[in-house]
Amino acid sequence: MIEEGVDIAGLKVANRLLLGTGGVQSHEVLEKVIEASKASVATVAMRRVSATSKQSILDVLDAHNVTILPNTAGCYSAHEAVLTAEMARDALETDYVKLEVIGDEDTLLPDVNELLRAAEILYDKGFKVFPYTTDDPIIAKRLEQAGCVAVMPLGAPIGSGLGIRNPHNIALIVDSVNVPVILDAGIGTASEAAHAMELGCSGVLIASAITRAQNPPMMAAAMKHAIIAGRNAYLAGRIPRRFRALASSPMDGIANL
Amino acid sequence: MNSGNILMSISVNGEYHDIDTGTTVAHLVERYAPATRGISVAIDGDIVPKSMWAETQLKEDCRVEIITAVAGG
Repeated sequence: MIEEGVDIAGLKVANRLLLGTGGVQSHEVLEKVIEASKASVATVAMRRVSATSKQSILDVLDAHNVTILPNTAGCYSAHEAVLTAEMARDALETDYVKLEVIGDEDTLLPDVNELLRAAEILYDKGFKVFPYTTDDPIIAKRLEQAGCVAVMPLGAPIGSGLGIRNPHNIALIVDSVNVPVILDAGIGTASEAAHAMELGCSGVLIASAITRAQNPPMMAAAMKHAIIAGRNAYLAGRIPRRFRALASSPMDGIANL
Repeated sequence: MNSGNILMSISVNGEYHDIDTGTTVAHLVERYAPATRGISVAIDGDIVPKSMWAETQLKEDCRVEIITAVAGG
């Protein structure tokens, strides 16, 4: 069924797009985004039950055969993240977890010490861990060694839409780990999703860029196309950069006018 | 309320409630999250698996967290 996808420890990611549901205005919009992107995986956060919630997001995701990837968003310590992951596993009956351990509420950047500790504990408990991490290649390597099934470096802070601030580091991570690299956070528009794929990422996770776009379903479709374009460009092999021009028309046979 | 039972105070998702002694986790979930699926419960920082809900009685001053999946990430 999956024409262009990636399988990460059994998690089948259609079109190499993991959909973040954060910021989506309604379940109706979410349905249209899923249809437009053809996403097969979506993240959810774990929060206190609310008496006012009518329909669960799980019903929407189930109706579209979307696999749920719970996250540990909002956790600031390994202890909180591990407990949240265990509660998500208990509630949703999945071993997959997108591990987030945040260091600071202004930047929402990962606290890599706590992240690594939580990843080790969760691996021992049988989880399949997808860690949201910095663009540091050494930390990515350590997370792989801790048993994570993928690494998810940021392009820029969550929700910033600043694109990939250090593309070389992303390329270094792709080169240095053997698990799939999923670019997570920072993508603002379609060209930046293509950029991630051109750098050799196996996929991208996009939330805000789609859910907070003026037309979320249209942006979802744009992202799908951008990921395909970027992936194909990566596989096709780009030309080397040159300082000066290199004529594409032949130099022989130029008329003497 | 007029059950003749002794009331005790517990915290549910950060709010204090008086409940009958002997109330189980299953009763509490039914009351606070009747139509919500994908629920997990922790008491004082320890998960109570679904299989234990019916037999786990709440204790005075315990801190219950009932969480579920929402849009996020």
